[in-house]
Amino acid sequence: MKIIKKIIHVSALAAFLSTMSVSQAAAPPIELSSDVQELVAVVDANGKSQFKAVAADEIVPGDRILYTTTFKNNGDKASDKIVISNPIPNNTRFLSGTATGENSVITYSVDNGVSWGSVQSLKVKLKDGTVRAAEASDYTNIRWEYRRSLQPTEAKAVSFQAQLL
Amino acid sequence: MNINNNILKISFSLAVLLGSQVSFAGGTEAGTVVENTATLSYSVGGAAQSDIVSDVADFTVDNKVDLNVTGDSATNILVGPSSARSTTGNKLSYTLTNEGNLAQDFEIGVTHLTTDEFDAGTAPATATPQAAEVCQYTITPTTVPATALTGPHNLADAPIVSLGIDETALIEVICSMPNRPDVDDGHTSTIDVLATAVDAAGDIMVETAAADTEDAIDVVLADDDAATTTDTSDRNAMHSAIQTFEIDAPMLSVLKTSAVISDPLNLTVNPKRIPGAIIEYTITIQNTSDSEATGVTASDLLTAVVDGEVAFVASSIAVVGATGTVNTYASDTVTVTGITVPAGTIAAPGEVKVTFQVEIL
Repeated sequence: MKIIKKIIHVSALAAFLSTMSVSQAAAPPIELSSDVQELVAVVDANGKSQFKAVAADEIVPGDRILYTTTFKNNGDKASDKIVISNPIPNNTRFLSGTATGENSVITYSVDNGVSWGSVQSLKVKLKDGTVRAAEASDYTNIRWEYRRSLQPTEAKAVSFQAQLL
Repeated sequence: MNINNNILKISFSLAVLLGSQVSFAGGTEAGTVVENTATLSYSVGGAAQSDIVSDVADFTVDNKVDLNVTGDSATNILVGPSSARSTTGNKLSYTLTNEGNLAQDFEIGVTHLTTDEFDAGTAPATATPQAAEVCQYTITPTTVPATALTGPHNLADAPIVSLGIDETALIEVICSMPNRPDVDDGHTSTIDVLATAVDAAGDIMVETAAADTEDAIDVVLADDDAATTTDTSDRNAMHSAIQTFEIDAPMLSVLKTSAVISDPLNLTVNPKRIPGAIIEYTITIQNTSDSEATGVTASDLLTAVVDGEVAFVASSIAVVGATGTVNTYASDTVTVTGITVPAGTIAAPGEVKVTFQVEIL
């Protein structure tokens, strides 16, 4: 009974959120954009292999993908308590240690955003009931908590890398 | 309430773990659109504002063309000389796997390696006992299509097999072995099976030129270099493997010697070959190949008995180095059947000795 109530509650909230975002879409004070690029290994003049971001035109299984989320304050007031959450896209695997974001606390979820934790604290429960430390490939979502205020006209970016399965 | 919460969480993480399994070894299917959306929450002046959802960043998964041909045996397939194509063991097996991320057509080519020692299935020096039967092959996909592949195919054919993602096809090549004096134990015949990824028109798959669109399905070749004579580079939409027939034939030699055992006067001390003396003949059969020879028969017509010069000593036939033989003496002939000569080498041949005695008349 309680569980059913909860599900109804969650779906109602989701509906509320989606209608809100539609109504706000006309003039959001913060502009949020997501960009995808492919990372290809190139060998520089010194013989070192480095990744270079190119347009995501030709991506096949195994390729490395760079996602960049840019947020910019178009309003006339400072914004704070900014939290960006991003599900790991379908058919991809998060690459360990690739999430970046200045002045941000980065946490992960292994249960579609129900609970969040650090790389060290996250656990997953296996089919046989045993619990093990979560691996990067277990992550379902990433979250950046931006610890500063975003001043008017200021723009920042966070990013992470994934591999196409 | 708390307990309910926990149950919810656990069921969520379980579902995630199962859902994140890779469904195909070849990876995400070509044409899949991978989307990403970020959500941002924020406050202004301490008041929480509505979430903002980003635009969708997406791309279409391109077609990775990848294939692999492997020979099913790590060692040479041993065959008998002058054996028929229908002989159970006269078969080389290969497995073709579609390792790409889309269903793909493959053209099959089967050829003789030119650098081996003989070509199986070619004309023998004599038509008997085994006439040449050209090599043929069959293709058996794991999922047999509605329009079944006709076969068997000849080497000149270039049949096409369609394989879904991760599907495999078994390719089996059968040949007769020639009856030729120069094709004996240890000689090899190698056959190459090449698979080429082709499009619907039967043309070889080519990589899409650079600088194309994000939403189209482009072709990327991803096959490895098989390092065979038919596939010498990676990313060429081809892969091949070789397997080898090796003739496995016992190589026998026969030597007959005689020694005098006793005579009526000297008895066994320095006996001489005088009338009444007992002579022992030894037939030595040696095998220098690495396979044993079974069902060998040794027979010796004693012409000296026919001529009335010697007499066979009854029950004097003995066999050393083999058991279970049938030893007979009839019609002036010594016959030993059912001999198994063990395998050996040129330095240390497998050996069986047959001895029998006669008395000088």
